Amino acid sequence: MTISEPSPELFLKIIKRIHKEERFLALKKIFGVSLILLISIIAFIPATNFLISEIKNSGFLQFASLAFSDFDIVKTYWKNFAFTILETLPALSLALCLVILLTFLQSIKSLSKNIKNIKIIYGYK
Amino acid sequence: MDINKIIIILVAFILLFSVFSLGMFVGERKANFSFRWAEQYHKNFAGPRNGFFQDFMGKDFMESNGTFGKIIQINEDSIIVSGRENPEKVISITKNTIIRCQKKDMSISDFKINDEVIIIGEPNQDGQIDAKLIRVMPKMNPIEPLRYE
Repeated sequence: MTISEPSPELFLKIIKRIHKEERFLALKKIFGVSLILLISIIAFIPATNFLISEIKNSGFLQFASLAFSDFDIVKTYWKNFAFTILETLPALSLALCLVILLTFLQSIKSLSKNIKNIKIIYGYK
Repeated sequence: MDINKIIIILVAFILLFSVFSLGMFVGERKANFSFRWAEQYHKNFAGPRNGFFQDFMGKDFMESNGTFGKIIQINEDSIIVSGRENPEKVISITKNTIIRCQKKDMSISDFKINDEVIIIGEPNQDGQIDAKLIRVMPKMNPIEPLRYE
């Protein structure tokens, strides 16, 4: 019984195919991350506007300003002051804004990582 | 699993739970105050007997430890303040209440209707706020437009 030898080109073919697949995956990742980045940039504008209007309407700034104008009194009644700040804090819009900001930063990180990967795959320095 | 990862997850979970609990506590205080405010509305503002509690169903509750807005009524030992989006609130003033306008101390007799105030206090059983600090905002004089003859 004879064992047939694989052709010497097979190894190169497999490596080429792996490289092709790696390139395709890296490009797919870059496209996906860029899309998330774009969406987060677009969503950041209305979210910020929402946060600003919430801060204005809730009176958060007015109460917070007391910490500067009447620090001694605020120190005495710190519990009431803290509750007022917590009650007027626009938690929902702040959370929304922070989530979008976090997505934006994470996608920038991921994008730079993927660009580095694709440079390695294509053999750029 | 790495021990560092377990610690990070635990800390994140504790943090999340603390924020959630704090939110629930603050929300409960606001709900309690709003309920008392609505229950006592007829007494405080001579409104309908059942108050305006129906208005609160499904909406945000009121802040219980402070308010800001314009003075719409001045009584002997209380004022009524109406905020931009908030309904009117009775602010009870005691001898310990500190009233300030810029660097001057004031008394209740110095108040004028439409004065802008920021108040910090403690909610009471009557749906009012016992004021600790009332900061009267100085009136801004609008700049007069230039007139050319």
